[in-house]
Amino acid sequence: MLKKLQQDRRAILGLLIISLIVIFALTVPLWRQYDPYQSDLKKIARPPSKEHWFGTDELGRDIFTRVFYGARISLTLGCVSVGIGLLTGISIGVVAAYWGSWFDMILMRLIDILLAFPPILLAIAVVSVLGPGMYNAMIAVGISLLPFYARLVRGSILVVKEQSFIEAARAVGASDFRIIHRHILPNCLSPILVQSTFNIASALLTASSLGFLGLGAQPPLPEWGTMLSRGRTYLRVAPHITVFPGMAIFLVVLAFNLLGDSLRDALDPYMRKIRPKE
Amino acid sequence: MLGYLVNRLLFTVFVALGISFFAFVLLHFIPGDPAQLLADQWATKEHIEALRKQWGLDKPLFTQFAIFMMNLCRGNLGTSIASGRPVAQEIVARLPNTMILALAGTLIGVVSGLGAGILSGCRPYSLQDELTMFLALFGVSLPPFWFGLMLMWLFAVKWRVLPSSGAGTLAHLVLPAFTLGIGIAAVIARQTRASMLDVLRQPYIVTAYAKGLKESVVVCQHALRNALIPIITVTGLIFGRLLGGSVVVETVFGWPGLGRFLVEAIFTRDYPVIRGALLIFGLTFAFVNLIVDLTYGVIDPRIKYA
Repeated sequence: MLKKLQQDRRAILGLLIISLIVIFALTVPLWRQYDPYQSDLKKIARPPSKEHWFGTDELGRDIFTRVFYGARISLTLGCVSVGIGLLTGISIGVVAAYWGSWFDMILMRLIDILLAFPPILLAIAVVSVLGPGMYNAMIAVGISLLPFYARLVRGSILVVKEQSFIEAARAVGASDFRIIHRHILPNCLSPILVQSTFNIASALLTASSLGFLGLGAQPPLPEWGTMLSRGRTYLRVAPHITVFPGMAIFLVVLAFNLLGDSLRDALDPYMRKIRPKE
Repeated sequence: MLGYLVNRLLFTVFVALGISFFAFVLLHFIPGDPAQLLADQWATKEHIEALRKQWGLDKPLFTQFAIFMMNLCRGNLGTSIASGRPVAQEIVARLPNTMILALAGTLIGVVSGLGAGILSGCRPYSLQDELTMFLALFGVSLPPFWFGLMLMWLFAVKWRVLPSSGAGTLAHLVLPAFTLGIGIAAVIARQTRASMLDVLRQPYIVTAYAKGLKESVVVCQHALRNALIPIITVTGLIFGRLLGGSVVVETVFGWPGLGRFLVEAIFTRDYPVIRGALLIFGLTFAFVNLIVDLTYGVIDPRIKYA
């Protein structure tokens, strides 16, 4: 699989964008002297210049520094949300598929109800209960991903658990826990991995949408959606305040989508079969 | 067909009940007294008690849900804390705006997405295909709120050819509908290409070409119809994304729809409105999915007689 990824331009481009943003996010305090929270009222809404590559925002803060500090927050938001969705979704999917019967029926009907809400609306519903804030946004986005993971994991396990190596593991006396974590889950990893790559992109979009609506991370945190929301008031006089955080969201989402596309093709036997014929 | 129809209808009724229960139970997860949450913060004790009685909040949870459902069947979703008007009335005033936006977005998305997907699918791995798919990937990755703001900056601020916000004329609809439509077009283009690639490999397509039919006839009459099922599924699913997206796009463009109303209600902690709006969004999505499933039967006779 790694060899296939190395040959795919999409994967290389995706990984390159993500790596660059992560490196910049981690090293920006070392080579930029600006504080992302320190306002400078003499430099309000300045356009991009040699001194301030992305210009300054409505409080005179360096947008370049804030965008890369924001990368830490936005990427953490995306990854933690996917982690929450993954853990809860896998747990529900495993319980439903492995133990089955009425338990499976009840859990899957509950998942059907959650699936009836578009992810961002589900996240908004959760935020309306928990209240706005960065940590609540992580939980909300995680819960909005839960039904997709539960369905995906359940489907994969239903196929794997009928295989003869599972029967063999059971015959030698392996416990349910061992069968699940040593034999079943590793064999369901491919679709989970592909879906998670896409989900980081969609979690980032949902989390930044919440930030934009004022329901996610709150100012002065340099979260990309929140920065955009503040910048839109100054769209007429200083559009650059809106351009750069938005571009950052777009690039990261694009990178994860490129990577996801490439991973899906690399792990899909059908794609492997048809592509050389073209 | 009848069995399929009944099955789908029963499932939709179940999901609608589930959505109603979700909306009902939401209020009970919020810390504090649900009656207080349904009332104005300056409401008198008598008013709170009256609300408690009206919604049966002093009764067991199941009875409360039954009362909620009875009120719902009568079209009673409570009273908005912010405006003091019935929530149902407020929703009815805004829902048409959201539907107009959603339909315009879908139209833009389906027409451009189908066109791009067909062109790509017919010439796989050509320059035209690579370019279209790269653009589609761009469209999928664009944050709608940022894209909307950029369109607003270009067309309303810089060139002054379209209004930046509000509603009322066709010109007001262009930017929000295009913002919503572009993401949908991208997803539909990707799905159409994949479906067309699948179908164009089938033996009946080779037969159609062997009969000497023109490419346009083979593509439109033989391939597209068979490729439509997954495309329609995606369009149905996308309608949900569109309803969610409308929350953001309505906020960007000041479009007076249900999504913007919901966001405003969260800020004012207007729980009757939050509950009502989520309920309507969920039910609309469930209804659209029902229509999508029923459309399969019309398009694919194998499903009709299964």
